[in-house]
Amino acid sequence: MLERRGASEFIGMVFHGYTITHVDTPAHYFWKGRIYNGRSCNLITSREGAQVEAVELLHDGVVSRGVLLDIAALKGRWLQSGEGVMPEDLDAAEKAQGVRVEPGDILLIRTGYYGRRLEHGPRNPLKDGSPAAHVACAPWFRERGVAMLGTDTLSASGQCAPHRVPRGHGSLADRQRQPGGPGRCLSGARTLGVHADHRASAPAGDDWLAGEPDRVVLMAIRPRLANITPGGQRRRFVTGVIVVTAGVVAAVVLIAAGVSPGWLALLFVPFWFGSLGLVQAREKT
Amino acid sequence: MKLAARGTRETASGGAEPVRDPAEARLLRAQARRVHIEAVIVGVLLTGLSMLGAAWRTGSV
Repeated sequence: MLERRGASEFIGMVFHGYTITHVDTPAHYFWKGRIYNGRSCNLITSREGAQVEAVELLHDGVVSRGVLLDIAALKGRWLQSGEGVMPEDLDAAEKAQGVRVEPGDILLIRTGYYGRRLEHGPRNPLKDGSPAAHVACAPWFRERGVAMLGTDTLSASGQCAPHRVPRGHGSLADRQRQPGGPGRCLSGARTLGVHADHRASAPAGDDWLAGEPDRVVLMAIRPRLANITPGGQRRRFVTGVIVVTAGVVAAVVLIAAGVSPGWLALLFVPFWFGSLGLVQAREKT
Repeated sequence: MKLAARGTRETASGGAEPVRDPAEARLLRAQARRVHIEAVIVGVLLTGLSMLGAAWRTGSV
């Protein structure tokens, strides 16, 4: 074991979590190694970002009709931690408001949960859960063709405390706890999730938030996939270095020997082959 | 690169498995093309430099 170890700095911005309003795409969660549309989760890596269904899809902004369904107004109260918005709530809100969610709409669900915070103070969503659209709403979103889903809670579709989840429905939060579970994004409905997360919603002074908003990241990402293992990468690198070095040594010897320049054209083979190894190692291909 | 051309990826056990996702396979093939082109360019440059060195040594230039 090495006595000496080290670490390198990482300057970046994590625009995710319970403290920052952000957009989740269908690339956010995987199910059995697949993302939306059955694509491989290998298309998404921490180093290279998402090669498909990435948030860059929104780089020109989003223009569509927004529909706010006010569940808090419907119920005459804010929803409690762990309480799910059910499809019948959405139907009732539509009826009460005289609107109908159509394909391509951006659906915003108001739970009024922030009012609870203002009155009673913050809670830890990881411990207490948060109201959200219940997993039972996924077919509803799919049927209506909802393009984006936004909410005023800590998560668009999860973090329901298990004891609060209505019986007879598996919550996204429950499934998230299973290995490889789909998590809290309703990617099955191809819905982009907008979280109205905000610092104010977080329990003040809790350690679990320490440092979160202070991270800053600037990254230039070029799409790059890996189809070789780190071991293969190393082998190609070592081979590349050896072959290029051999080519350089041969070139020096031949030049020193005063060989005709035409003969040195043969060195293309080691130079090309060595470079191939080095570039392959860099590109992980 | 050979793996990408075959539409496969290396596994931890040293074998290869097929890349079933068409988008992923397409990206890998594009990457492999870039690798190949870059290697040829570097090879040509180094060879050219060597030949230039030899020409200088023999007094051709």
